[in-house]
Amino acid sequence: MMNEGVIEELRTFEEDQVWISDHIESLLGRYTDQWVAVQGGQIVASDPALDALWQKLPDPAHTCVEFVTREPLEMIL
Amino acid sequence: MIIRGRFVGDAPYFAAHVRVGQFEGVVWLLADTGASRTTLLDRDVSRLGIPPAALEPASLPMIGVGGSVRSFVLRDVKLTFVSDEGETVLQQDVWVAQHDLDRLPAEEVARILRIPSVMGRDLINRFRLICDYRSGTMQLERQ
Repeated sequence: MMNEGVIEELRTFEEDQVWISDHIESLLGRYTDQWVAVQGGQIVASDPALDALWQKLPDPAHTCVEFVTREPLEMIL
Repeated sequence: MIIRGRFVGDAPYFAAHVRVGQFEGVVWLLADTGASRTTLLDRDVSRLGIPPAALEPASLPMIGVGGSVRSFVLRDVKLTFVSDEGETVLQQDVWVAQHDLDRLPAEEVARILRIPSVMGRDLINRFRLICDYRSGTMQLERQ
């Protein structure tokens, strides 16, 4: 049986990830070197420390979280 | 059946819902054909609230460009993706890579926590992978 709740959540999560990337310049103006939590295209919490951010979120496992920084980082995984 | 991913910058990602035991949540997986195993990294393990006690040490070491890390296995993880058929559910082991964050300087910890979890060949190779950055097409297909 299809789980509409999970499907909707995945779509929202994906949109939130893309939203951060699309709005990174404006986010840098206010949240430089902070972790931000985004839900539905809105910042719902921020903190320089990730552990502290978890405490501000009612449900981290279902929240998009990324670090906003001007520090470039090349990744070779 | 088609699972569509998205490019963020030049990097291809897929959103997945993961469920293992009592833990569940959503993750953003970087499609990485250089990775042999689908692996959750430090940030997502913490975000999903998976405690160290729930992790089974892996029988094989894990190594990347940056060196070796502690490796664990989560058994029979249910991974759900949005597909053109509604949803596609896979069940497989997922690895966990844990850096020793307590022993590292803060700026290095912040960099490590930026590393995304990865979708490895153990999952990718169950499908036909199309990764075309120029057309913005990123998808997993199978009949």
